[in-house]
Amino acid sequence: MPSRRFLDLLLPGALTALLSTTSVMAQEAFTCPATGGDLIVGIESGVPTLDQHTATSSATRNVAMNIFETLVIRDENMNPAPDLAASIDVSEDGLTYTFVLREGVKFHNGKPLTTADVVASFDRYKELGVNRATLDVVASWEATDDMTFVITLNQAQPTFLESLSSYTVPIVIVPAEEAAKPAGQIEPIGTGPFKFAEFVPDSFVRLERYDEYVANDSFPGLSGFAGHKQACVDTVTFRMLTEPGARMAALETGEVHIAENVPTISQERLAGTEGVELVRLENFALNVAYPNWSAPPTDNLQVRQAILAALDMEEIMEAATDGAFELNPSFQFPDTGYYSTAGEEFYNQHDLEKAKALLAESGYNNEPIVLLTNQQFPNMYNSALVMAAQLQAAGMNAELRASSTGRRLLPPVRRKPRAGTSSSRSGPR
Amino acid sequence: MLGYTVSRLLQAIPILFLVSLMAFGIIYLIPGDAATVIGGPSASAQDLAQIRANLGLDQPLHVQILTFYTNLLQGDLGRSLLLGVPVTEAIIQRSPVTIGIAIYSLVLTIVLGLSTGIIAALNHNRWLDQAATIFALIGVSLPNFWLALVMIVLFSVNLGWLPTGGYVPFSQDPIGWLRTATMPAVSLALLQAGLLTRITRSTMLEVLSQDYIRTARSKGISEWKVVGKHALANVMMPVVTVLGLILSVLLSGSIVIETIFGVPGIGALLGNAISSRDYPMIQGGLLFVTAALLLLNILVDVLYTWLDPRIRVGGGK
Repeated sequence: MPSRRFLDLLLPGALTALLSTTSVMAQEAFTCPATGGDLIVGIESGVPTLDQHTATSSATRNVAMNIFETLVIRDENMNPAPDLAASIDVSEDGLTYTFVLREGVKFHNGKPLTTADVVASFDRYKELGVNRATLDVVASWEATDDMTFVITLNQAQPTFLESLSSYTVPIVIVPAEEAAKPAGQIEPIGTGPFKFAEFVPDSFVRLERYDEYVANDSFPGLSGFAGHKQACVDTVTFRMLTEPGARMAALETGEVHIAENVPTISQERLAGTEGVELVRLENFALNVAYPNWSAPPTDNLQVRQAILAALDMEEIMEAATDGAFELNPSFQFPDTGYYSTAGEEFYNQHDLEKAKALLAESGYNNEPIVLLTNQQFPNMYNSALVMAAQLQAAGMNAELRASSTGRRLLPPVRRKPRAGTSSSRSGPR
Repeated sequence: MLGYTVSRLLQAIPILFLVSLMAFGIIYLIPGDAATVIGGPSASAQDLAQIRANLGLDQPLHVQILTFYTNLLQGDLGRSLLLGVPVTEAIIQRSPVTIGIAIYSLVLTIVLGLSTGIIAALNHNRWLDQAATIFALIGVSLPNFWLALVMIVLFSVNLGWLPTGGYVPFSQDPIGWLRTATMPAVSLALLQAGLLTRITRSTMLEVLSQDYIRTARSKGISEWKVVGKHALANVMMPVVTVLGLILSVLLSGSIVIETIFGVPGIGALLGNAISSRDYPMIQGGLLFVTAALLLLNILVDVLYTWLDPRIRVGGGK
């Protein structure tokens, strides 16, 4: 008996109810405002590879998710939504998840999608996928027939579909014969609305509309990574313009139609440029610092409370974003399923006296508190820099340690804590 | 001349060997454990063991060196961690882009530098000389990345003459190549042209004060011929000497310039390899760039002997 929230999405009645309460979701079936042409997008980072399973880079994800699809993905409100699955059933004990595939879906090479491809893709992700820890809770998966894929868990995990639908490094479905290939060596063949055309590393990726794309008809329009996807343009070219000045110049001259990550310093000028529209992405990223609970001194609750008491989030975020931020006490964005302000009294306290008192009680003896960050993403580095200064002001021996890169070349399995470190990272998981 | 060329080529071998030893050693120069640095803070013990095995770091040192050189002699530089393709393949794919722009830039450097230097020398202490000296000073002082950005604003955004970046292969569309390669080439060339202007100017001034020039002039030969035929041949010597230097700066400058203009050449390849700790790629890139520079310098030296027979030491012909 399906009773869970995510299953409600699949029932037409529930879908209507959801639409009426969520104003941001498309009310009518989406139609292309214009068709044809080449859409050129200036992206801020190089795309290292299109092997989605093995890439930690969000640049890979943003390009590859036009080519590939997953069984279940998130909609724009962060809720899990079926993508290649037509239905998802959960057994009453919460141990068995049954996915039935959508009919008529074909890969870009013309091969029909079957559960053999799903099994092979999951096998590959389990072996070399970046977030393969997601599958640690899984006992087994199998194809019971060509269209039915069953996952059995070791133990019930109420948030299993949430983790399975994570778009950080999505578990995309690739043809079984591609799934057999090592990391970084697959042909980018998926089931998505665009197929791969050309990739010149450090220059551009070009995708073409896949005319035989079978869209998910259970949705009226696109919602986040989910929904009824439709390719309006003939081709999309993602140009890698890592230099912000050059990227903005390309936008101004009309060489690119969309440019991401506009520096605050350029916004005023661009706002006055004819034909340029600035779109502010409210729910773009969260800056998060993880304290290490398993090593001193941050294994001490009072030390962690002292850190929290000392921080001035306004100042941190100002440095991180040049003013483009909203303070948010939650780990989720407003208007999303899990948003809550519980515990907000602990957020943004900026109470140095309280921090010092907590430190004195904790028995903290000036041990180094190492802030681990990277220099590739200025928002992370700047946050950590200001955070270190604030902790020092509260009497903590804070040290900043920055690696030269935020890009990991090889995927982590589990986060093994290091002595006294915390790390800074952005982006919802 | 052949003997000289061969002996210069032989001399390059120990240098290449030293550089290859350095390339091999890069992985050991990383503070701490290379696998930890490559794997990042969240790599598991299993990941680290895998990285060590992939890089051969779990083998004894002599086996590692032997494997490195065996592979190197077979042209196998390993597989790029970031791109997933063999390093040799990536370098072969990218080098025509950088070489094309470097040649374009070199031509611009020589034309600009030589002509400005000669004009300055011929108009010694007049306003043209001063203008040329200022041009040279500006050229030498401006950082090329800044110049690149200013050129984008001027020629792309304001005037709309050239695209802001990107790259079109010459074989696909020569005009498109010229449009995309011009700003990268000019931003690389201006600095070098400034250097060349100064050297040409001072050499030319020195040559023009020589006795044989006075003799030539006294014979009634036109000034054009005096400068173009008699003086220029001797001015070329120091110019050729700095060519090797100019080429090495063109290659290293391409890392920044290719990143700004989104040009997929060796520079961008190496820049990304460095920022993402792609050690096989850095090793391969180091070897390739050094070998290329060595060969170019040998070429310059051979050119030198051809231009000036006095240099042919040992009487080789």
